[in-house]
Amino acid sequence: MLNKEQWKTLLKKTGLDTEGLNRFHREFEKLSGEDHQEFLELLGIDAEEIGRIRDSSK
Amino acid sequence: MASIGKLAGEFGLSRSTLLYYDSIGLLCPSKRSEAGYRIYEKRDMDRLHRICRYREAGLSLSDIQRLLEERSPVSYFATLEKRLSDLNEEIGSLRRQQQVIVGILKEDNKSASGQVMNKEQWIELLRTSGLDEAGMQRWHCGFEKLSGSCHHDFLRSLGLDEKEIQRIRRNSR
Repeated sequence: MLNKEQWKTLLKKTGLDTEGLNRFHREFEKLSGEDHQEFLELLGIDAEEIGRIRDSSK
Repeated sequence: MASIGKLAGEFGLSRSTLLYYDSIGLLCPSKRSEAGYRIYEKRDMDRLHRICRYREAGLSLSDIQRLLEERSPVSYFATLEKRLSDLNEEIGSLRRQQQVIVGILKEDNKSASGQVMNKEQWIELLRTSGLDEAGMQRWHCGFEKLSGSCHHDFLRSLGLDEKEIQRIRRNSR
């Protein structure tokens, strides 16, 4: 599994700007908060930051 | 005035229940006929009405006995409040059991399917985030360049079969 920075770089290179990344998190959260959580955990992000990301994705 | 059979019928109870209530002193008929049959009067019916209500609340017969004889309002309410808090505890415990089962089912489902999301959900997610077809192709290419094995594992986690994964990876080089 890639880490957080690699994912970010990948999605950016792919063409998602900051707003696109925000949309990605919002849509992910909408699809399933639990899957979003699991995905972020797989990227090795700590609990506090995950909480912050998910809060701002609601 | 009512006989035991009539009273039982009116309250939807069995005769033996009323006999039992009599034997433990919970509801004793006010009168007996000359032949010795139980005769329930209006106040007995009122008492039985209260007994049935308390039973509906799940109170024990001994609690009910105490409530009916209780002269002190403080103890009377204390008995009812105790039952209420017992019920709340039971509900809480049931709720916890319910959550444990939901958790187990979710875990089992996940480990059975071994995936966070499926392919369709992932495509939809990228699309709503703003990626078109070309963007998704760029995503695959970028992923493949970064790490072919991670690309492979990720596609696998979306539930794609080996053949499709190979095809995608070939087109991403």
